[in-house]
Amino acid sequence: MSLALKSDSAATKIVISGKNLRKAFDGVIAIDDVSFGIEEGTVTALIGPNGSGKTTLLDLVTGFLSPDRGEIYLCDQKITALPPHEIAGLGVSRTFQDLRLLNRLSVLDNVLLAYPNQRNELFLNALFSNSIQREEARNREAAFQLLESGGLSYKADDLTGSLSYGQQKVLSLVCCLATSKKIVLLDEPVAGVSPEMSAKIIELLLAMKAGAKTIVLVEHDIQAVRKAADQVLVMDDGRVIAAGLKEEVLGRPEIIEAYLT
Amino acid sequence: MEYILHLLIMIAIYTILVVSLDLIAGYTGLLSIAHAAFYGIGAYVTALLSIHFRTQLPLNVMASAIVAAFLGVIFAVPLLRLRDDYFVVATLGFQMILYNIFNNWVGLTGGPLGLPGIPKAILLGTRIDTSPKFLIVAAGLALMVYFVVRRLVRSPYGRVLKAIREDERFAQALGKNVRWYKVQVFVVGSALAAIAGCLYAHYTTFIDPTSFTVRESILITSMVILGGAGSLRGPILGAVMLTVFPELLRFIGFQSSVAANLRQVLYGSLLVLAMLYRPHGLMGEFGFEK
Repeated sequence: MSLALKSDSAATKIVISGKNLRKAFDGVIAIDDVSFGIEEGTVTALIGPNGSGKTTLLDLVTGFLSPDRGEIYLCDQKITALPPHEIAGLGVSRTFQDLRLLNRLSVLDNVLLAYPNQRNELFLNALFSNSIQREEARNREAAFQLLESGGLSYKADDLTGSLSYGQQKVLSLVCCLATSKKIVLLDEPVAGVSPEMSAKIIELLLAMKAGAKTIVLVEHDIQAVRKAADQVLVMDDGRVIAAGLKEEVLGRPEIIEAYLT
Repeated sequence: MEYILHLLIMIAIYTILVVSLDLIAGYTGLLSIAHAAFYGIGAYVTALLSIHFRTQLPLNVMASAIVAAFLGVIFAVPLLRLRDDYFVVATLGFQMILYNIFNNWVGLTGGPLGLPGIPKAILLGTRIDTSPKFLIVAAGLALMVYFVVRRLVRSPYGRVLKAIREDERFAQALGKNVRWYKVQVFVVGSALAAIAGCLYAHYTTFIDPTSFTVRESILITSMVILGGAGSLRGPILGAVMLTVFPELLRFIGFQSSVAANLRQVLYGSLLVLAMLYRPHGLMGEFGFEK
């Protein structure tokens, strides 16, 4: 089955799309003939039960896995099976369900690492350039502002591992923002955090959307999906079984019952 | 006095080895036990050049580093796709291959008999023929290597290396070309190790394959781990300890044949104790645990 998101106006631009994607692990089919299109500037929630293939789909789009079949496009450019850092370089940022932050480095270092195209991350510049301090100071200032917006600036010099789970989720979002990519894929940004933290994260998310980013989030929390999403893509057993505007898809009781409770 | 100078020179040589290995293993998380092989490359390149062509020290240093870098590329490009344990095993294989080349390519390396008669180093027309002079040269090169590595690991470049050590996928998601960084670091670290080999060849004026075995690699790795991988001073402390400590055994009055064996037991015990009570080494921030 393949369903593309239908859009009301023909003017909207599809920035990420997949065509007939398939991925199996040792014969177990995780993604089965999935096609989708994500519109520019929208927040799309990817929902479905555990094991339905949501994270696998994210991994395929970001190059951490390559599909057995099918194609992935970033606007009109084919990115199928490009390595992750190249896809990131083309403007796609992501978070991980298990966060994967650098726990033994400072909070600030995690954010600084996220800034793209740092000249002094190149070997010869690191050795010989005299602009390291300048570049660092500029990024540090920007990083502080981002941390401030996430309420974490007072933790900047602490080890990341010392943050609460919720704070780490905020930090992973802050890192995503620091990459200043246009497309952001978030794997369960609010799962398992306190209601206050969740509200904070959704606030950040909506701010990202206002900043003209295109956001895809995998999420189980229906409140978060209702608040943040424009579009919903429902997966089950490796297939996309419903896709469309939030109001339409979440208006269907069987979907609410099956996938969001 | 001559004896103290000898120890200081060996410490300078080991400082180069541990600091360069620390860049690869401590900062980037690529545990390599091929370091003695690159050390050996530097020694053999220097020996051959200075025996056959009477080349001066700066040229020998550069040639050693370049040949080691070249071999580092050959090794790193295909094998750095391996992860963790698999990579360690691959470095072991590489170490064994190079040792066997040193040991068996008799026409070039002299095989087990080694290469005797390596000329003393010549720097700016001066023969470095006394221990004090040699210590100054060795310490100078060790400092140079130390500052190169220090500058690297404290720069944004070094931050990427630490990110690779901590979580490769996170670094990739942020757009860092992890594989390319690993290749660079391995090649640079190996080239720096060759500088130590160059010094060693000039210092002892005789080299044979027994100085560049897996055991030597393990000794260098032990120094790094014991001192504290991922810090700079730690591994140097490790190098000082594991150079000086075994010498102390002589003064306790063991025969040299006993002392040699006891030394191995001592290294082993120190490592076991370190892993039990101080897994990130004496001065390190990070252990190898994931």
